[in-house]
Amino acid sequence: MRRISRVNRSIDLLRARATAQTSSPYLCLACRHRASSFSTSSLRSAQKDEKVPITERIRQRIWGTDQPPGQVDPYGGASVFDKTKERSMEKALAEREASSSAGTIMSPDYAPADNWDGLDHVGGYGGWWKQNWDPEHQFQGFLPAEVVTDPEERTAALHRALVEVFALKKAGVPLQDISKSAPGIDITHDIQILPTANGAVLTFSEETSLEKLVQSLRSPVINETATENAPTESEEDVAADRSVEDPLHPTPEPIEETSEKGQPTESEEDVAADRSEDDPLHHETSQRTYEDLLASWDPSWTQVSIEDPEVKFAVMKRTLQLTGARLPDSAIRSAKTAKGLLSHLVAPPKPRKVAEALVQKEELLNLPNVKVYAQRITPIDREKEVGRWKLIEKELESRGLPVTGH
Amino acid sequence: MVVQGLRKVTAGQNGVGAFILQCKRLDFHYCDWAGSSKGMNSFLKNSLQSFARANPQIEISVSPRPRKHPVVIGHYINGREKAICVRNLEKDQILKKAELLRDANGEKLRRVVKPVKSLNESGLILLR
Repeated sequence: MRRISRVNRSIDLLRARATAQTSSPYLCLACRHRASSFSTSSLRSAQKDEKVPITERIRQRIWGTDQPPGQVDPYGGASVFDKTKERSMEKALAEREASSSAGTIMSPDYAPADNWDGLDHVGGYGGWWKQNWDPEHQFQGFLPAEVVTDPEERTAALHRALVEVFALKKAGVPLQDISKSAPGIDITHDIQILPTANGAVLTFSEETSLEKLVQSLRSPVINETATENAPTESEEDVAADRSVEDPLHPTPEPIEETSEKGQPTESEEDVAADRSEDDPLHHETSQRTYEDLLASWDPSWTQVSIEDPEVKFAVMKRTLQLTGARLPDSAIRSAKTAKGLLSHLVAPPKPRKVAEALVQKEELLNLPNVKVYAQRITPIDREKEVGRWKLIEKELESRGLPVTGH
Repeated sequence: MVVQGLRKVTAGQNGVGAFILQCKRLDFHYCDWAGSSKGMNSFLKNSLQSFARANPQIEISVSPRPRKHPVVIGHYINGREKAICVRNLEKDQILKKAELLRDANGEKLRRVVKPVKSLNESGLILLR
């Protein structure tokens, strides 16, 4: 029988190639044929040259050589930015090398430091903490530590500011000097200020004069002046003064001070009471003082014109420094006389509750058919209103029941 | 003898001369904190005074009711009361509600179908 010779087909070629590239050491021909069936998936042995990407392989096939001409990988490589960065880094490295090669000549007595003593410090806070947080260097704000809330005290402060500003103006001193130093003792109590056609006129008493007032404003006032005025004050007084008030912001109350100094032999209890913030006696004295003070001034001082913007600014700034009370710009702008400022300075605070707002309305409260309660009306209140609650309470107690309600 | 009619002393005007407002008391409750009382608080501060002056025969009491919606309660001479919750209402809307309570008679709301309403059932007595 004639044997038909098998034509080598392309698939057989592939198979033969696959078997030829098998990595197994030894297999008989039959086993090799059986084991290596045809597969469309890539051969494992093909993974050997895995590093060559598919684009490269295609190029190799196209050109027919292993090293095709042209760019190695048109889609790979670093981006333009990376290349620029790399180039600049290389440049910097080259420069550094050049400079280090020039500066490597060391002095013969050089020895590396073991610790940081004697080395230069770069950066850090330096003496900042010492300067700013040291108790010796306390922060001195422009405004007083506590805002003055007493309306009479505020009125007195405004009067003082007015007197000082017009005194400076009369003396020809620039008005911006007024708030440069911390406010000292108030010597304007006895000075009357009256409105005139072009500003105001000051009337001084025997003890005060224009020069004295201007001098007190120009020289920075320190606490020593206060202690010099009262050389006979005892150790307790000093302690009490120090604890109650900021020494750099003494309250302008000479009468109160003299009343304190009139008791040099005060006991320990009194000292303790003085140290506490809310001394009733202390408060009472200052209240009376300010009332008398306000009454002693001519009431027309509130009509002093502050339409000159420079005067107005100086008065506002001084009042702010004395009291710490801020006024809205609209109030400052619309104020034409001292009264305009005063009405805002001594205005009662805005009510926070509806009942508080209603209590301020006299007309509403005077209506015979209206009652305003600040608290919730409970059922007990209703019983009390008609006189029944006493009976209910008595009955509840007699039966041993709890007397409660809501 | 000729029959003579009785001489009329007063003209009958069926209650016009002695009108009594049915609402005797209005309670206004508000909350200081809650936003739903915003209009009510504004009403109390601004409109209540004129309303109270215009209605002197009504007793008005204002009291807080914390953590609750604002409410207007009307008390009537028939012993009933009407409450209207006025949460989130404006000042003018609350004034309208207060006027509604003032003008109400305290009765339950009923549909009126007959032209004449009488407490007496018999029509004969009506003729008296």
